[in-house]
Amino acid sequence: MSQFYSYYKLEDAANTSFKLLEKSINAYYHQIGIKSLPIPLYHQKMVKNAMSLMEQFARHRSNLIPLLRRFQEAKKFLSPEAITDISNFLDLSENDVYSVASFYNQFRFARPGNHIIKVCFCNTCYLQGSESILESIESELNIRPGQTTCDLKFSMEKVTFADCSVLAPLMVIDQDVYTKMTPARIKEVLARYT
Amino acid sequence: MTFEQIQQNAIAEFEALELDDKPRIYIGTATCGRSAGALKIHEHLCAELERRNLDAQVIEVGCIGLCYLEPLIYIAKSGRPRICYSQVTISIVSQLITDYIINDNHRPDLAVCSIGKGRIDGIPGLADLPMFQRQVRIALRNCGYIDPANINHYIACGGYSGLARALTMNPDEVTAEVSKSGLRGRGGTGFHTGTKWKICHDAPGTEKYLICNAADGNTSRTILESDPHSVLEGMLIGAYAVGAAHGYIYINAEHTLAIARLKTALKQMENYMLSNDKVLGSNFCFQIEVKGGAGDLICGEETALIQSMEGKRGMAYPRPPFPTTSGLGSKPTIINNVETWANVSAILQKSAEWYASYGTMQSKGTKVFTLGGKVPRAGLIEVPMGMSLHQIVYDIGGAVPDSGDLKAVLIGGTSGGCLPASVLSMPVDYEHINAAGANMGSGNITVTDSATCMVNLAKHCLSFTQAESCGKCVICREGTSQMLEILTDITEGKGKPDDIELLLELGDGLKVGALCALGKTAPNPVLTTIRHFREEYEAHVKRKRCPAKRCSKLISSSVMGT
Repeated sequence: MSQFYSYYKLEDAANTSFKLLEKSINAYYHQIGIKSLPIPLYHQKMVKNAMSLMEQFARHRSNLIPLLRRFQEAKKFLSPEAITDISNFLDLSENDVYSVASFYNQFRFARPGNHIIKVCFCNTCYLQGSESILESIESELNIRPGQTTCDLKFSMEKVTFADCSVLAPLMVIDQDVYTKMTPARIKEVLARYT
Repeated sequence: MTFEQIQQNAIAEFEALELDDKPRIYIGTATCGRSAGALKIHEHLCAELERRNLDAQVIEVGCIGLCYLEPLIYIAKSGRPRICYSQVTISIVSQLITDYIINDNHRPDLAVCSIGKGRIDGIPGLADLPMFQRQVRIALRNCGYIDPANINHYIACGGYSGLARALTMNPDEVTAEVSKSGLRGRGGTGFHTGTKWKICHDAPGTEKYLICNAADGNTSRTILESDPHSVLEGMLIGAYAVGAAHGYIYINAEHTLAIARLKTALKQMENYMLSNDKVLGSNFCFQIEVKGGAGDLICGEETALIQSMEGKRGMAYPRPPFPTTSGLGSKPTIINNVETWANVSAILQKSAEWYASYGTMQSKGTKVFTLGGKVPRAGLIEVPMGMSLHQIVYDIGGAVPDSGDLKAVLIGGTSGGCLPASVLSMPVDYEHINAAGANMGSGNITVTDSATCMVNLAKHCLSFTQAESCGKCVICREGTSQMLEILTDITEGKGKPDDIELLLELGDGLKVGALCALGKTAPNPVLTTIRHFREEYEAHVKRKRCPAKRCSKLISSSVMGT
């Protein structure tokens, strides 16, 4: 029983801060009569990275979506490790965290390409022919919305920006906005990205 | 510092700016301007001024509503109104610097209008533009005119005087004032704001919350980017009226500009003792926090929004209990959208009678719309309730009457209704819009031309709501996907004769049975297009033809057949 107790205590400390973790491990080893054991380096690094992302958040469920966003911003997608880290931090089951993350459109679970192409499908863009833009990207890169090219260069997503009135159809690659797109321009625009 | 002192300082600063000898260059850098390339213009402008060693002030402003003319810059010289130049490019910027700033030639050929007091020969005033003549700007009163990152500009234009006035009244009087104005929630359902506040105020419990719903479309985002303080002032007034101590602004975390402007605004409010403890020296305390949430459509629905804020899946839940008695953390919660809060601050700054003088008997005030599609003058507009769609589309939007090119108007975005050109005389207010099967909510008006296939448009709208359905209630989850399947069949030439009746039956079922507004309004585009454009559906089903030649599978099959 006491073993379980200390295990949870350790985990708890790990969530609060890396330094505290080190301290409490040492304290625990001291307690059971071992002088001190070095923590494996890769583990240190991992915990440190995750901690630096989480430290400014309070450990409350209402911070779950901001935390997921934070991890996605850092790594561009949510890895299984990220889900585990967040579930430990907020004391939720991994299942629970995954169920929330998979509900919202904005979270990705696979590594995206270096450049993310977003094609707007708001009403105005649709009426002005965003479907043909999508089709020509599909044939050019051989991917469908939500997929990534084999060379990890491009990913494509269907989005709704909803303020495109005169700029339609709109396409965004990373931070660059391409307005009044035509299928004929796709090849030239894609060639600008390496 | 008392509020009078703050106000005097702000007015002094604003006037000093207007009368300064240095020329001022304002540039519209809201999202619409940025997509049109305003940031590049801004960069070039600053570099050019530095290169020529000119002393001028460059100020970023929000969106004035002339989105079809972006990027816009406004140049003002001491004591003269601002002159607005549209669709500026890097070469036009250089020309304007040489001509207007150095040589004092104001280039009427490039100018659109003048903004502010006074006139300039050869350039019409903003209010004389055909797009602005019929508009009444209440929620958008400062948008594009003031610097959203400077609280003094807002105060100089009458800002926070509404809060100061509210604090001299007791909370019940504030609620009564809002009730008297006849303001109804701008989120779509049109519930009376004053009544909502009263229910929340009377609900048991000392801990109450207030939420500003900024997840419901681009009008919200534009107001927050262009005039965040008008919304924050409205929230403070609402919190005082219902007795809330914490407020949240729920916004899609991808709207980084709006979030940045809000955070700056909140910091400035703290410096002026306008938030946190003892607001303006009274006993009223209120804290506002910006909550970056997910951008899903369902999160605009109030119960789903609460779930999302609590870190759960954004799924709607059955009401009652309504959030006004049991909302965030099961505490009484007021949820209003951005436009409503911006109206609240205007009502308290002026008066309930003034506000109620606009609009119709049952729908008071104004409504903001994003006008887009096949109209020459697209942008953000605000019109008094009761104005006809005809006036909006033709007079403001500049569509050419009798050209035969206008086929339908889609009101309310993807969950809105499609109305044919023949019913455009309909006034725009809650009663008429809802009766027509459309939806005020997102405030989108999209004009379509004769090249649009109505079946295809209905399919597009439904595919969006189908993907956004949270999946909690079966009728919405299964109903939307079944309807989408039938519509896809019809557009691919696989339609069966009784499909149209089946669509109507499913649509009516969704309207009655769905749990939340998303499901209830999802069939709107389908039902209204069947009501007004039934012959197009029949052409698809019976003759396997698409009259607008948009459904590619039907076009190719008819070509193959001949």
